[in-house]
Amino acid sequence: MKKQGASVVAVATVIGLTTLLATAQGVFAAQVSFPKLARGLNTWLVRAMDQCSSSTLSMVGQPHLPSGGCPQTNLVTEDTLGMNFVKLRVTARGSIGLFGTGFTLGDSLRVRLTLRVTRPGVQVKHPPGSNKRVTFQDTTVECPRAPDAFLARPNGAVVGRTDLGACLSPNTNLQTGNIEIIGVSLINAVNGKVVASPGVLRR
Amino acid sequence: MRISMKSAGIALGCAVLGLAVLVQQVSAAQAPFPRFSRFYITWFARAMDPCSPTSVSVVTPGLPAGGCLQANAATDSSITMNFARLIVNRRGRLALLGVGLPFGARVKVELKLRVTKANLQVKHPPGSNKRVTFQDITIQCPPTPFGFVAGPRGTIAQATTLANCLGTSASDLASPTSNIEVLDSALINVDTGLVFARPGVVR
Repeated sequence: MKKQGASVVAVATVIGLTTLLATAQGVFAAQVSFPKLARGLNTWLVRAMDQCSSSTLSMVGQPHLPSGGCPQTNLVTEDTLGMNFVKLRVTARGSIGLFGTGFTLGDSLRVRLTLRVTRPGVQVKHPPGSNKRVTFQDTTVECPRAPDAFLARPNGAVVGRTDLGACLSPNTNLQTGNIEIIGVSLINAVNGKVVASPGVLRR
Repeated sequence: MRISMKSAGIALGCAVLGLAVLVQQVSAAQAPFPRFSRFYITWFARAMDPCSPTSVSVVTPGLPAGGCLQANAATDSSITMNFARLIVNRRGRLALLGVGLPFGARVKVELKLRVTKANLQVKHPPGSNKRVTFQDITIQCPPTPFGFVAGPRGTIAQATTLANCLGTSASDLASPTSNIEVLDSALINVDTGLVFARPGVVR
């Protein structure tokens, strides 16, 4: 009887340990490491256009284009600001730089970023633990923070630089870790409409 | 009779005025392309699963009160990566440089594009020299089944063209004159079909 009880305990222990090991391995395997290097985004911006969700035009004589499209519109997107070109940089130091021309004196712009941040070494309480890797909810920030904005100079140029930490305030510690840039656009600070998106122009 | 002619005149005047306002609105709602936009360059951070809703309480100061333990169930967890960098230039050429990948890893670049082309001929309604925005298109580059393959040193340094990725039925989307918005970009592990990297910064 005693021997049978011991063997049951042994089997249960083995099963428990195996399950624990498998779970631990699963959790470990599902938590990948950060890259060693990711220095950010360095892009020119093109004009943002309204989305064409269902085609209203048929193309003619264009075999290498989709058969339908929409007339270009800028109702949801910005259409009042001029723009010759704009260049945007988000650097590994957390600096956000904007340089553009072709605007009008007084135009005010902000960079809108949607970020998904994962940080190591985070202390959590429910469930309790320290040194955890935590992914935070996607956060959308505008840089610089309102009421500030990048303002166009008399010659139509916009030159500005701000800091990611300042944009993320009060959650300034989100500025370090593995920062995915889910979305990026340039907006008119006056009406919140998107002026430009990353891209290339083929002339 | 005189009154009737006067009424007709007023009605005609109103109609002309209304048409003028309408034309002005339509014209104002079509923003011009920028003069140039030369490249889209981004480094890649590791892609993580989104956190929604939060599942852990965070006590580290300077961070949001809630988050999720890092998970890579909906994103790829099998590929390793020291760094990766993507360049799309104004000639429609796309190049990927990656280091620290497993030998034989098969990688594709996924891009979500919104293309607006100028000088197009359309038939319904008929017209020429029109600006057309096409439906958003998601492409995977290169279109070959294997994608970019990492060499024995774990590196990828390969290039292709947007026209090639768009295929023959849509290759002209990448030809001049095109305003090409890159709405989203990511790296895909061909073997799992999951995203493993997104534009970003590691700090």
